[in-house]
Amino acid sequence: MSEQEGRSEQEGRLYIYRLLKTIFEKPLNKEDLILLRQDPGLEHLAQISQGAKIIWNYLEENKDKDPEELGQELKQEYQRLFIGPGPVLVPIWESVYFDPEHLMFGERTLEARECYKKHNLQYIHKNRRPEDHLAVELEFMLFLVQSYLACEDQSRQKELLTDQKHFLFRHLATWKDEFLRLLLYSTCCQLYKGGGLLLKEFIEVELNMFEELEEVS
Amino acid sequence: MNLTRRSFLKWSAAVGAMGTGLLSLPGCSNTSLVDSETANGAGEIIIPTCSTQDCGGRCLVKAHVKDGVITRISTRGPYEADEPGANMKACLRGRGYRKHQYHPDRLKYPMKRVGKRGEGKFEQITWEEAIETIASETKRIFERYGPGSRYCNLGTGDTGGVISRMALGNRFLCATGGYLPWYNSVSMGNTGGATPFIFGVDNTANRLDSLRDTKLVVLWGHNTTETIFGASNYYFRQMKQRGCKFICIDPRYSNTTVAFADEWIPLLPTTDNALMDAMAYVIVSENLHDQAFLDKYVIGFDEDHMPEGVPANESLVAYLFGKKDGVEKTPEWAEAICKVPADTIRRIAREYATTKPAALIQGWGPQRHSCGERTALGGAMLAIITGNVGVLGGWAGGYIGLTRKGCVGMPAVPNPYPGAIPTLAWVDAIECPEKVTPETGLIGVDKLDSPIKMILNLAGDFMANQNPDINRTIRVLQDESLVEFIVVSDLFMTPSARFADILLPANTFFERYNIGATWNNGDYFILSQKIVDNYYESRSEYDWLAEVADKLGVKDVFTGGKTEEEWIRWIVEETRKVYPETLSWDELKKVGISKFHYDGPRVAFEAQIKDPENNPFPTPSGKIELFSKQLYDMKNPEIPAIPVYVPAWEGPEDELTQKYPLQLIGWKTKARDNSTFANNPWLQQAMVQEVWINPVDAEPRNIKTGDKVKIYNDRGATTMQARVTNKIIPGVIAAPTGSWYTPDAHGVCTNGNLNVLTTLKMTALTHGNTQHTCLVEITKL
Repeated sequence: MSEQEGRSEQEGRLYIYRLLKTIFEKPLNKEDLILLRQDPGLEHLAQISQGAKIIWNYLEENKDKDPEELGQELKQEYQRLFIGPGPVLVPIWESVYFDPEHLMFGERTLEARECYKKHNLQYIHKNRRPEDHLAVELEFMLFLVQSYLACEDQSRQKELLTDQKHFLFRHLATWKDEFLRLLLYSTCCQLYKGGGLLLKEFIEVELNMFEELEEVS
Repeated sequence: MNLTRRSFLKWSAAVGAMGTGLLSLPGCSNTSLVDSETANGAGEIIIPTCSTQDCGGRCLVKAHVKDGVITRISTRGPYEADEPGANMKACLRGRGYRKHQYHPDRLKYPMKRVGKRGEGKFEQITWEEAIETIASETKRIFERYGPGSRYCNLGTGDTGGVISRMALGNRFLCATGGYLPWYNSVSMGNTGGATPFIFGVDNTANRLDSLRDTKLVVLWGHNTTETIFGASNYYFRQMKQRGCKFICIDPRYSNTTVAFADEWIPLLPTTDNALMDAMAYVIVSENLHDQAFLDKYVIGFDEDHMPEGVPANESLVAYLFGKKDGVEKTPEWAEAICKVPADTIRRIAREYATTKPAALIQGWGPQRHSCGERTALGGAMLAIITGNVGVLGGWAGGYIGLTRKGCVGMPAVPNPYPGAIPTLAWVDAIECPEKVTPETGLIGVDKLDSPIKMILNLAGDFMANQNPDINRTIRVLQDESLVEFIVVSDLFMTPSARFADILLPANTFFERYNIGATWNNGDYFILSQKIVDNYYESRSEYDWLAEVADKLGVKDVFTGGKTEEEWIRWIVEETRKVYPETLSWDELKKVGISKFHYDGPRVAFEAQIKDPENNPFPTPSGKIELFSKQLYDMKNPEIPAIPVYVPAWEGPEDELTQKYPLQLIGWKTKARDNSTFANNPWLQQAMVQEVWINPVDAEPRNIKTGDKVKIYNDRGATTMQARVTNKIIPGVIAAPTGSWYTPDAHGVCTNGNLNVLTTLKMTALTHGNTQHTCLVEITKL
């Protein structure tokens, strides 16, 4: 792989992490929707990923709809799925999937916190909201990939790759399937279904990448 | 067409060439994780605290905290036994608090209703919008309808604290012009209201360490192992070890019966007075009563000790021996009514009368009936005729209330509105205020000037879950032309929270300061400490009510210039002035618990018995009034002057049994405090919501254990699974209370809530709660 190819790969990773973070961090608003609709990267991604295709189709099907109105619909759906009030249909925090009683702020939350801490990072809502929220975990991966790209020191680069691998295998990879299952069961909204599917597809590609890297090394 | 490594690389090369527009999305910047230099690992610290929920006990729990997160809860060990006093070790509920704290369903943001009321549709709003709306509606409703239109509903979600959310709601409404308050406890109001007719006061209980020498305890409908009633279990266990005998009288073989009873005596609910009267008949006819005590301290026992102006044959003895109605209240007479065998009645009557001292302790379940006041008076009657009043080891009766040491409260803000309604009258006060009259319990005013138009429901699930007759209640609440504004603050989307117009996320006792004590308190209090940050945007009601009060120009009236924490510090300091043994704030922060000191056991009416000349009972006659002239003058057949047996409405002798032949009672369970914890995952595993039915009743209905059954009457229907067991008397079915009302499309509760079946009809004397008097039928689904 050439240096340019390697860089493109990292930027591709950044792109998808950003896309997923954008979808799951909060409901997309009018501006987000307009930008997403105009994004050429997503249209291309839709040709190779089922999840991205569903997202793209969602945007296409709703292209004549007032983005303000669509944003309102998404706000309601995001709230219904991930916030409440009432039973949270699709928990968006890792620890809920692993805690024996499906609680927030479990061991996984504190483990994620330790990972962030190693890089001198702290969640802005620390101790009020758990930092194993999907969007925060995605943001951490973004940080690591960005740091990798910005770094010229090889041993530091290696360390950053190791941290990425560890975080992926220990965290994001462990709950993507159950998250997707609950999403598919709980919503008809193609944006979130597509988002859940893309998450699963992409994390699996990420795992493959690290396995390959291991074989090469 | 799943994404592959190969296709991804191809795509990323192409995308890299064209540049990714998405990079500019505003949401894509790294905003959640920020640089931090505080990277040093935090070790585990252990902080003592307590809950402030409406639990009968108040255990000291230890929160294990790591870097601002509670990682587990532990309890006190045997090495921490408090002598003298109880070692309040946490039960399942106390150990399960973390499951409540970090439950993913906790309310996270303020919301406003966007669908029809009760439909459950809400939209996230800012705190500013919530506060602005509450301020403007509070003002509008006050100006249009007056203070009597504003109501703060019963909410027991944190009444175990000295500052309860419900009281804060009342305080806010007082500060902003007044409100319509309620009176009378739904828990024990019938006993609390009736006992003063005998003794002059309602605080008639002894401290439990006075039972050291008690040889016999009769627990009459008192389920302490599940309610954790103060330190009862601690003392009962000690008494049991000393050889004290326990008799449990209860329609159900309760956990308390399992734990303590030497003998279980089941009876039909509402027939307690028949059993009590027959016991009295045996005691008096066998001359086992304490005539000297009766002669000296009591009026109304026999014809020689009656108040003036009362005709002949109105005394207890005349009643027992049928001087007026021709019916002797023999054990055989009672057996036909209450189903306790006559021989058993004779035996326990003799045992109770001849074991000195003996304590007959009534719980609250038997009085939460249409005959609740009579039952309360009947229990006291047995204590009186056997001379067990005012003596060490005895027990006078009543609701187990004690006048002892306790924390100083916040100075009250006076309520300018003079009226008050009984606890259960609020639905009428919304829908048909003309029916709320002095005859039906209205006090302070002759009539209501306005229906209730605004409800504050803070830390409470009484509104649409614990209140009787849910179907009527929610019909009234759904009508947006009746109550115009409902504010709910809670931890979860409870059945009551569904009816909010503004729904607010409350913080928990781990997130604010308070002080907790037990029911029947006086032994100790515990500092309930703020240990962790508020979850999401949750807040203490104190804080946002202060902000609303500020908008309305009365912040200082509401807050008295103090924060919630400053009030708790103030309470500790003021309590120290009254009771010097009280620990300081700093000491409390470390050890959590502060114990009150006493010279010895407290025995109710000890002074009246030892020195009656100088210490008359606070009754009209100055004596114990076994016959109450006040009750006699009321001429109400439901509240006779002596505790006679009167068949209860919706009792086993009611004609309605033709249609609904089974009595339904609920019980407070080990797994919940009222309805709190109905969604706690540990406690859900600890107890199944099931209805107990005797094989005698189950067989003809073809019901087997595990079958799904429907329980119904004219007020509604509920479904749950059945347990066929001889641990419940035939003719009665029983299920745990507090399950969250979950209706299907036809309004049938699918979650076993009993209040779709119970009635809002009140008791005759105190206008109290009759929730356990309920006739039903049950059928297999």
